[in-house]
Amino acid sequence: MLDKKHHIIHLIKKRLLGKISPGEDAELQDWLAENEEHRKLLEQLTNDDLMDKQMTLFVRSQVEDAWMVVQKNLNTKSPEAARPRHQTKKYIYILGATAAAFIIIVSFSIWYFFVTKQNNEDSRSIVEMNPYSRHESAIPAYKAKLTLSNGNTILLHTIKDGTITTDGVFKLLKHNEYLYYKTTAIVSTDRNIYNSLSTLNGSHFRVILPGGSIINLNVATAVKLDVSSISAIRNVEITSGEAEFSVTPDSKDSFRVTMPAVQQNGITGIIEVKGTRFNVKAYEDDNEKRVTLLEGNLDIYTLPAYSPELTNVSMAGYPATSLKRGDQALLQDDGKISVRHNVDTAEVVSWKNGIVSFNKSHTLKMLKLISRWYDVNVEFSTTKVPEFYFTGKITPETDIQTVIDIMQFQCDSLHMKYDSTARKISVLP
Amino acid sequence: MEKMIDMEAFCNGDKNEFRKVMDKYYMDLRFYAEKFHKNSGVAPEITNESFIRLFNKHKDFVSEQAVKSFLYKVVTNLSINELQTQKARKTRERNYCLSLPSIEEPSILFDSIQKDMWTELVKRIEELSDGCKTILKMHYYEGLSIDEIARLLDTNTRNVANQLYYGRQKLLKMFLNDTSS
Repeated sequence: MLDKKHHIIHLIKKRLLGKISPGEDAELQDWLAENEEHRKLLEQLTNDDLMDKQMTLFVRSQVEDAWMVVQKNLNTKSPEAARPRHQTKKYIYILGATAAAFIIIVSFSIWYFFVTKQNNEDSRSIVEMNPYSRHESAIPAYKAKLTLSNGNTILLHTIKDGTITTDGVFKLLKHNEYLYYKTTAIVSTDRNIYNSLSTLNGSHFRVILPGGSIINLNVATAVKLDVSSISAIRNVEITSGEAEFSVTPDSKDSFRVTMPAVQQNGITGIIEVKGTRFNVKAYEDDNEKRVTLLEGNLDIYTLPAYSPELTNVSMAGYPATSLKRGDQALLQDDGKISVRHNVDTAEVVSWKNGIVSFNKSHTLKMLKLISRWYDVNVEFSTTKVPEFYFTGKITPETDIQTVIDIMQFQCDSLHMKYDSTARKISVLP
Repeated sequence: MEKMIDMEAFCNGDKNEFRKVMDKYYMDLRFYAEKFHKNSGVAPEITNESFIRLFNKHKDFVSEQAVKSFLYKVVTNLSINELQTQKARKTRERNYCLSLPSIEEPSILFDSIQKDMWTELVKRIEELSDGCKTILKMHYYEGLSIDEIARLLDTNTRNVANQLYYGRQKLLKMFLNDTSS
């Protein structure tokens, strides 16, 4: 039965390729003569306009049919929605340890705090039933500030989509959470001119460079892009924060990312790649600067001090560390690099899905983290902040009060109060 | 650049945004599901189910990438489950097929030929070069006009029209030269 279908398709193909035999052609003619629709089908493949229309119609009809089925199921309880509520729990967990003795006792136990999320049983009441206000959750927004080479600043989330301006030799275009750099015919001899882009607390943003390389910016991250090069942006400085770079391979030019200098002796790490994907975590206020290689190859050079000119010179001669896929380099405060192998790379970039991970993070570091993700200020009414280390994850929907409650539960001596109108956490004695 | 989904509206259960997600990803997902289930006809069912599950979890998504990953994950899992239970189902399907009208019946045969041909053509969009693929998907999947695409990609309409034309010609060429079907 199926053979007849394939046979006719085969004949149509042969006819259009001009490879049909007289016998086969007669057979196809018979089929075409059967019906007007049959003749039209052949015409649709030979006339470009008809083909365009037919392809549109075909895709529309397929999606429309599916939509009818899907929509019907959205208004009634689907098997997923009809499940008991306890099966769709959202959780956050925080593992804490105070003193060495306590660490020994609890080091093998993880405290799970389940926050049951109400499932939507009726799509009409979704908004009302959402127990989390986005304002109070860690779900990232897309707010960023762009500073052009002439010093003008633009709040990208406040402007309409479309072309913004030209700077250096590039045209800048904004669309939703993307900032695009496009090459133009402009010739410029200016050197070392930069654009700065920084995400606000609780916000992510993405940059697409000419050639297709992508930079994903985490919350409170600032990068400087060298817009003076001729056809591509291949020099990026990460001033503070965390970003994932997906660099399109280029056999000629390498792509360089300069990390912030370490505090002790001003040593800077310059990452040089050809085409690869990697994550750089280098918050200014954090001693640990980490580079994780997600795909491809990467070299990190350590330089005694940073100056913009260095980004254009050869790195040969400087101490280099090569990373393999799954390696994580830690640029320590003394400028030395240590490498860990086979790290969980999915975990490293889980921030892209709004998951906040922390590992043995001191109370102060935790507060900074919360301040960045939830866009709140932290005020101290005490000079004594408990020495406590937290390990765990916060899923995006978790509201800030829950995080505070769990931290206080874990660390008895930590007292905090959250003021939602002032968006402020007060650390109390 | 493709037309982005408004994730905030999507998370709030906006059905228009949900429909946009379907427009954008439905065909790709169905072709993906078909890789698991060549002729059994369950691919559309599985694809539909993945969207139903997506909507039931709409509050959990922060990015379009997460939506896409979720859809592919559901289709993969459902497909694997389906393959595992397929053996038991085969007898049932055979009986069902017996009750269907014969495919030799002219109108059914024609529908089947037509569906196969356009499916084969659309499926090959994935094999086009990146630029061409983006434009064809924006036009056919998301239903964007040449003008809209040109505006979004910051290029002129002539360029978009050309890419569409060459894309279609390439699809046709690939389809005609594939002798496996």
